[in-house]
Amino acid sequence: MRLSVVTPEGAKVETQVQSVTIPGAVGELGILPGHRPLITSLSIGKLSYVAGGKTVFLATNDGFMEVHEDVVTVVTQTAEYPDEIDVVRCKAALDRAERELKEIDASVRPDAWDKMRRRRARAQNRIRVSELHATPAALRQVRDRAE
Amino acid sequence: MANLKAIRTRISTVKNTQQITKAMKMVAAARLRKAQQAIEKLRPYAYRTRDIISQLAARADVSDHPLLEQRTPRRVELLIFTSDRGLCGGFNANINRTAERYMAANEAGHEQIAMDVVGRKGWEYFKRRDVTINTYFEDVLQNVTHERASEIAEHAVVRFKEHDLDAIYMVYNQFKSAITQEVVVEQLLPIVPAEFDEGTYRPDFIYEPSQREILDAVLPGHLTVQTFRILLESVASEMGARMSAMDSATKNAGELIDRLTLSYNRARQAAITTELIEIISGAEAL
Repeated sequence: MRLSVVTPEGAKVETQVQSVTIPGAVGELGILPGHRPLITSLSIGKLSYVAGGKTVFLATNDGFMEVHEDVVTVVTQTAEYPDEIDVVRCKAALDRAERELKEIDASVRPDAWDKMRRRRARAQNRIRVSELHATPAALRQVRDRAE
Repeated sequence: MANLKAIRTRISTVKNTQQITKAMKMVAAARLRKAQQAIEKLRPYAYRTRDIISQLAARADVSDHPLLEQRTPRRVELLIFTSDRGLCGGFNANINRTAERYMAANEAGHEQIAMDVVGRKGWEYFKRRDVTINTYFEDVLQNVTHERASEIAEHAVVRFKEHDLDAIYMVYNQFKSAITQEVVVEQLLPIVPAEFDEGTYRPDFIYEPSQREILDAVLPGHLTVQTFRILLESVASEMGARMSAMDSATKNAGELIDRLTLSYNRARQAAITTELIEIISGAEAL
């Protein structure tokens, strides 16, 4: 089965895999070879795939996925490996989003409120993926850079 | 006999111009590299999105989403992408000509063909002509951002929904390589559904959640991405066109300098010869 993850910054993943787990809009979804054709939208979350016996994780953003003839195509705005995530920056972004959310009146500006909530969700997601799956070396590097 | 001083001045003028065109070529080449990288990175994403959306549109009911509604195109709009600056060969002329030809060919069939313009050159060209310019998007090209792309796309969406227009086409230069661009006319709205040949296998997709919800989630972003892609295509093409235009200008200037130098030397020799003859004949007369 083939997996390709495409983002505006180019193709992120282009590889042969045994299975894929994606954060679908209606819940987590496991895809194995021979899956029926499927189109689904994605929610902010964690994608993982198994290639050569190893499990690889990615923090993903809004987007959608198509499964067709054993080709899984994930189209998303961002996709990052745990080691690429800058936790320090994400935490700052989370704090900012929390503060903004307190100031925005949801009944007056529903769009802005919604946008900020998504921003908060993205930051939370990145932090979670990084804390669960980043290698200690990468985490140390990020912390060192921040200091 | 040509005036020696005049030729000398001419040579130095042409040399100055050559220096300028050379510098412009270098600048365009540097900016081209960046623009090319940007568009090549975005393309897979934009094309995949477009493919999946047109697949969805082909299976969805028109009533599923307002942006899928295929109406008889009575009011049509052309969104043209030109540049802010000139000196880039046929870049703008090709766009303007294609737009004009399109309007001439379709005038009879439609109630109105209006225009939206990106780029100062297109605006300057069409404002003096008998064309309805609906919107001129200013200062987009200096710094192409997602926000501006979204603004342009949103403008089209709102007017499509309000039946201000029934179809909108984009006319732009597609980036092929540093030296070639191709003018493309592409429909932005309504969404073009994928076409299936009769009898070919149509995979029976599962949709999660419903088609309608997927369309709702991805359509607005899709139009922004396509507009953004076309802005990047246009900028990369512009840089490519300017680079090759300035390259040939530099070459032409070089040839001109060679020719002028030749006639300068000829004139100088002729002057020396004349002078010698004058001296000799003067000496003989004594």
